[in-house]
Amino acid sequence: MDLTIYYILLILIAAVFAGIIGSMAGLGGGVLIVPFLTLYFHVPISLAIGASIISVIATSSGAASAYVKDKISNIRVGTFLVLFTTSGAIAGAFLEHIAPKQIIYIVFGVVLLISVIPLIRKIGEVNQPPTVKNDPIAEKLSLNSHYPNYEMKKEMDYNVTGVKSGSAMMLVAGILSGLLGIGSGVFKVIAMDTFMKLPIKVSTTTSNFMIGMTAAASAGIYFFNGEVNPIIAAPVAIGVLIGAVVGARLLVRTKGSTVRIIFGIIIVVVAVEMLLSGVGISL
Amino acid sequence: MSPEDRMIEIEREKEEEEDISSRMLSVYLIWSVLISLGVIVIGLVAYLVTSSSGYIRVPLDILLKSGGPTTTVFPHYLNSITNGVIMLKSFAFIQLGILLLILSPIGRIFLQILIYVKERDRPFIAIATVVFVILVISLFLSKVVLSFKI
Repeated sequence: MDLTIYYILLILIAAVFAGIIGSMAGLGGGVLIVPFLTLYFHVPISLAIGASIISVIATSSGAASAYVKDKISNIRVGTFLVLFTTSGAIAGAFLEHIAPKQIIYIVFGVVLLISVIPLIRKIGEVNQPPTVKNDPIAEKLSLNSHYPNYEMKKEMDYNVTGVKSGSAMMLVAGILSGLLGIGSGVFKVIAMDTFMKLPIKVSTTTSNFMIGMTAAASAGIYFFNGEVNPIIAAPVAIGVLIGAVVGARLLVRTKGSTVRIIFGIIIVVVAVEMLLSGVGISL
Repeated sequence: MSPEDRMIEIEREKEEEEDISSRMLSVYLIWSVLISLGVIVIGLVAYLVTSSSGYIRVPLDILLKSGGPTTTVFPHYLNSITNGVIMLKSFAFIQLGILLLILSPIGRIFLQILIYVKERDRPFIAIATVVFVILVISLFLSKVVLSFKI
């Protein structure tokens, strides 16, 4: 029993660490907790994914609460796009159960490497250029809105375009979420920011609002298949949430590219380890 | 009241309605997390204090690798979790908290449907209902997934 407490504590600490890095790097904790559990705790990857997807629901709902209240996230856009992420997530969970495990390690490594890009290269326009007009779907569903821009101290109006390509990208984001047990926020933000031209602040907070629902679509499949082991999932959910809160506090104080570079390096190292595991080499 | 004033009035009412629904969603989001995590913590503490999961006892290294549709190390069906909670088994409480967390987004989209019905927003009543149906269906897909397994 003593050893069990010790192990639960270790998982908790790893989860707090993943949560801190995740929230400070803007990635969410899931992206690191699966590698931690598989590489360092030798947990089977399906159980790691099952535990991770639970923590993803907890953190995203917690964070979304604040953004929804401040009316930064666009709930209409989020609700419409969740159609595609949830469908994708179900497909992703199916794939996870069919695909050879080595493939999942390799896809995970590649996704981690892609996630580093926004850390190195800042993406996204703060404000939308006035040339962006609503596309027909956005017009019909009145997806355009406004959000409080704290730097400029006023409400900024914005339109929504590229709904079709954005939706397609959301399907991909959903598949990756269900397949890997991650929130896949990076891909959701790319869909809204790059394809649909939403202001970056709206994209990231709306993504947060969507992540919980997306994760729930695959979480049920993992849970009822017995792939959510309570002794792993409980400390992971608690730890990642604590880490995310701590990370958000730290983020306010530490403004610098050094931190981002350090996190970038950690993520790349973990990504390479996942890729190597996928081809059967363990360090 | 001039037509312009009337327009402003309607706009203001719409904003207020949005304010209320945003606040409702926000409150729901935070409380759903706190309640589910509370139940998880109760189960985890109970397990550590009593050193009993309430289910078959296995060595730690096997415990960390246990899972899958046939596992008896922890409950993962609605009826086994309910029975376990009634019998105060610690792992059943953790699983109940996790299940509440999984179900919370379904409650959230249901709340949104109600908000859209109140706002008479037809397209979004339809969209939110489809999302709700997708999430409910996902709960019944675990067995289907297994039949695809090679």
